[in-house]
Amino acid sequence: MALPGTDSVNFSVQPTPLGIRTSSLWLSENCVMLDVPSETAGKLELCLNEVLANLIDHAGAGPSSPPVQLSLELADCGDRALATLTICDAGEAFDPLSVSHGPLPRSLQEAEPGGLGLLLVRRFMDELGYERADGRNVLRMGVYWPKDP
Amino acid sequence: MQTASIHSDDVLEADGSIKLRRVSLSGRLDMLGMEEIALKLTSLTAIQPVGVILDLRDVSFLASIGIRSIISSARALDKKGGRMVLLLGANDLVKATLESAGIDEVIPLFVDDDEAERAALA
Repeated sequence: MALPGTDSVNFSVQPTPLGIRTSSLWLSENCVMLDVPSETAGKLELCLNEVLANLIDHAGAGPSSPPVQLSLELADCGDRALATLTICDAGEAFDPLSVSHGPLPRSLQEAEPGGLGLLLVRRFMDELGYERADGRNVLRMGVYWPKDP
Repeated sequence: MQTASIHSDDVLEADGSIKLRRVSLSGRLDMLGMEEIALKLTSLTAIQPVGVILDLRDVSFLASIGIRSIISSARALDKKGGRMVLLLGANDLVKATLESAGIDEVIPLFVDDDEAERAALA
């Protein structure tokens, strides 16, 4: 595992459905290049998708909004490796980690179609952190995987 | 990057009525993908009491917007007296996504095609 001559890879994307697709491509290509296991890369890709979709659905982000900044970093943590994806947007202050979730549904009629995105982020990520810095929302999402012996 | 597609096949009774409908989705079920197939998914599963197998074996990516559409379709079918089951095969990430959202508790998930068919017809 080595980053190619830099500490992180960065990308800027418009918060639109096409931008989500483009950011997925950027992330998956970089995960392959950085030898991030496919299962881990899949989790990161899903969570990136959910956070960007949340900006569009609930924060009013769109084609005329400032671009969202993405950054992917890898870290060596002994017998594990850590991939951290940072998502930075200039929208209204919103801490997605402050949203609480009810219990999982027990029947189809009880199942609420909404509110699943951030639930998936919480379930798939090992580390989550939010801060408001310089007028921007900064969300960090990290996931570990065991390194080869 | 691959996008989404949807198609369906019906198994008919001797009198020509639908016994079982298989709706197969493939590709990326993200915001763009669901814009392409959501209406067709709703219409294909809005049928009279019948079993529906929603085949997700060729889905490469399932976001919450896709799960919402699946829940809505399954609920509409259930209200009419029908039954939806999900066929996953070896699609581990899609399975993990559905289980993390608790969908396995409300819509039956199957790895095996024959088991899915038996459950949809039960």
